[in-house]
Amino acid sequence: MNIAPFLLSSVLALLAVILSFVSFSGSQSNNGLQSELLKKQSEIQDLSQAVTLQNQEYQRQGEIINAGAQVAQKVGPQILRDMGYFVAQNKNEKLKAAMLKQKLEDFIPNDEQLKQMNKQLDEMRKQGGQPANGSSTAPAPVAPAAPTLRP
Amino acid sequence: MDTQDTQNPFISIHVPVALVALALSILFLGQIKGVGSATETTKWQGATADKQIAVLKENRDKLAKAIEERAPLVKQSEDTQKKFTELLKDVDALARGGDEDAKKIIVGYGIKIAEPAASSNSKTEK
Repeated sequence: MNIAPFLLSSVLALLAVILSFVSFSGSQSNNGLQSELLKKQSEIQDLSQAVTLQNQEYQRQGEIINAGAQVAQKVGPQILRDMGYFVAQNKNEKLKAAMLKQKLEDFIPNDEQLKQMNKQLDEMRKQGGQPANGSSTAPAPVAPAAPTLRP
Repeated sequence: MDTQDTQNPFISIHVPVALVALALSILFLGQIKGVGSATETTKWQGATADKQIAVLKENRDKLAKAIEERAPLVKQSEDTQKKFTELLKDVDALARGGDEDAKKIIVGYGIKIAEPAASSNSKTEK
């Protein structure tokens, strides 16, 4: 009896069985990796969302800081200097009370500073110059240290 | 004839079985190759995702730190704005009450205080 066909078919069948196991385990491994990848992608999405929110908060902070700086460095001191001048020059107690309420008494010039401011103003008038804006009558104080508008 | 058939090694039940086994082996080989390729791609995607996660975590931590560091500055800025707005509200009230100096400030700087009825938060514009 010739056993060659039997051996051949047996070997091929065994090979097929082994390969099926390899293929199955490979698929299982791939499925595991895929689910792990899905978890990572979900984590990436969560992190991206968190970073986006933080970015928005960071930008909001920047806007608030810029607005505060605008008030504290540009707009505020000019207005407060004029207010302080009016308080000192015209003895405006109501305006003074409003400034004191916000603890901005540093912007009210004392007599010496007022004299200097008036002197500057006179010089400006003599030269035909106008203050920076319509209502602003107070020149920038020379001697007094410019107080900062801080809480 | 029967004798010839049984003696011929290529005519047997084992031949179709061998052919089916061969076909299956080829099929499984192809599948293994495909799965191997997909696994490699998944591994690469996983590595890329790991890098992305690391970068995002770093960015998140940096931003959190920056936000925390700027919090006092933001509070100071908000306080300054609040303080200034309240002061200008008082000045506006004085101007409406006929105070000439306050009027000069309000008109000269073009300050507009929103009516409380129009909005709950008063806004100061220059």
